[in-house]
Amino acid sequence: MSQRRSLLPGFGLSLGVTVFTVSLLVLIPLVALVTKSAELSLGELWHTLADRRVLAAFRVSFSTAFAAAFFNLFLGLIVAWVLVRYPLPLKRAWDSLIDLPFALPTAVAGIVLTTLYSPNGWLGQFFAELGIRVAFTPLGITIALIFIGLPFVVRTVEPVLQDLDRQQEEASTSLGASRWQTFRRVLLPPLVPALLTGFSLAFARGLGEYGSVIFIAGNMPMKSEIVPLLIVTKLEQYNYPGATVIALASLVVAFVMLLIINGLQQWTRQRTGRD
Amino acid sequence: MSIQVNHLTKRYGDFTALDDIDLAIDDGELVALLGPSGCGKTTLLRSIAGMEFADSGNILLEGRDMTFEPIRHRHVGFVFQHYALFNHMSVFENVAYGLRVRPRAQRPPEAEISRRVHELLDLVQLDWLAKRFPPQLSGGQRQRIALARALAVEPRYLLLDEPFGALDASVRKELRRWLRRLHEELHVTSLFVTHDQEEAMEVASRIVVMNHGRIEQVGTPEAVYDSPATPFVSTFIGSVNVLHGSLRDGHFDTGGWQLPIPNADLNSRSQNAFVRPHDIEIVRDASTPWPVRIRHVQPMGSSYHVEATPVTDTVQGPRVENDYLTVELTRQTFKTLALEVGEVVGIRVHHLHWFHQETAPALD
Repeated sequence: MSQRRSLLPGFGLSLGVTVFTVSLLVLIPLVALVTKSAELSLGELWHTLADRRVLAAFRVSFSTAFAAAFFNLFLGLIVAWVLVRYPLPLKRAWDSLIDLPFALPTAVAGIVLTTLYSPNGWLGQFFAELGIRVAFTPLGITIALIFIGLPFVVRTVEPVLQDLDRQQEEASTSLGASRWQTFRRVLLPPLVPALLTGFSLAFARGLGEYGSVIFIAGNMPMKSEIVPLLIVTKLEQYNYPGATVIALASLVVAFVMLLIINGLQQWTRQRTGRD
Repeated sequence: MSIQVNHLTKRYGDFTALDDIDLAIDDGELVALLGPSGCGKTTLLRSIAGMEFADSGNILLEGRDMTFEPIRHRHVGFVFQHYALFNHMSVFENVAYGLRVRPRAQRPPEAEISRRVHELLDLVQLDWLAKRFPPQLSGGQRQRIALARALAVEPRYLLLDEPFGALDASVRKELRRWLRRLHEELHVTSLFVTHDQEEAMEVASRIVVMNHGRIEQVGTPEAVYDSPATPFVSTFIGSVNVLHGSLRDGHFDTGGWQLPIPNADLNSRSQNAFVRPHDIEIVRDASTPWPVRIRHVQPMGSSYHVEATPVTDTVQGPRVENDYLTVELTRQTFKTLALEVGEVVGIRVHHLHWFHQETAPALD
């Protein structure tokens, strides 16, 4: 048996550390989740999940998280573009501002957004005049999730945008392409994998987000109640198996969706010959 | 007159990239813009392409003023130093790009696009790579694909910005010859930027020598080498020995050495004279008034470069730049002379050139 030599030592060690921490922090809690929900019989499980209130919460959570992530796809690209391509005064300050949603306690963000967007708030009053209610509706939830998710898209797209070869754009125009054609055919394709990554991160975060949402959501069952809140409600009623079942279902759905997005990303990479 | 540049000036803040440039290029020419880095050659090329816009002056393409036309309307094919291929598209799609982005009415049908692309890939001898992606190709292959891509739109002018600058010496040599052959075949008016004088001499039919945003000389490779117009061109094209001294009574006087100059009857203040290494002969005859000591011998393959220090009994001695002369000898001559490092021999200067009213030579 010949041992494979690698330039950097410590493959065994780093693999060990990885497996150990991933087990401790991710896998074991997940197993606990599964075992706890196994306490319920299939009938009870069905009963819990098929509840109309639970289904409505799933619908609210997934649709708002998706809408927010989708919106951030565009907003994030534009923000990253501006940060990378234009000489902005106080660029560093703008740049750090992007990360603020990461650092701000989410409850603070939630309360601020609620105050602003409630029907008599600074911004909410204008929407109210137009007959649009923002706070205490899924629209409000989406706004909170846009706030939370934006840095994910910006930060994943930014480095790729920075690495893009500006001369490819010049080459494209010299070959007769219009600005839109250059954007569509030369700029966008290399950005797609990063955009998808940013999207999936923002989406995943949006599904699990609790703090910033519960204030602006209003939490009306069937209308603006999100899954994480439902789980907390079940916990407060000491319905531990019920809470874990919902959590597990939410996880499974999220996992499947992330898997699909990753697959999509893999596909775009292969199509463009990068793997 | 295919490309005509009149009084073109471009500044970046305090830096003058182009200083009142006038240049005319005929149909079907292959011209090199040659100069050290920062001399403005790339800015000039990019201005002609429409990627930069000058502060004043104008650019005529086939007699039409195109100074402010965007690049799309200029019918130029541009080749970049670092290829600028679209890495997410196959080689085929890269070459097809210029045809695919045409307005629907002018876009050729798919079969026609395919035929044209394969024709161009055949021309650059890389049809077998059509399905690959640029990152999988070597530098030389990438540059040839970039050229095929530029030619796909049937440009009236081909502009190349240091096209071989990023390649290995051997690939470079091969591509140079190949570019010249391609030009002979296609006859598209071509302008390429280079800082490599050997490359300019080998490929171009005319050379534009630039320095500090100005044109120093325009001429055939032979002309710029044999009769340089300025001290800068003398030192930049080919190697040269610089002697400090003055013209006096038909001689060039440098610290005790009196070198004869044909047809020179003027007296002049202190200035420089330039001697090519192959214009100096080494003789074993101690009678010549110019003895030198052999300092170093460098075999260069087909020739030998000999470094020789002037030997003199006067205090100052001949004022030679770097304190030694470089003499280029053929292999044959070197073998016949059987020179030894350290020995003293004589030299004869066969040709020397100098400039009226010379300012300090630019040796950067």
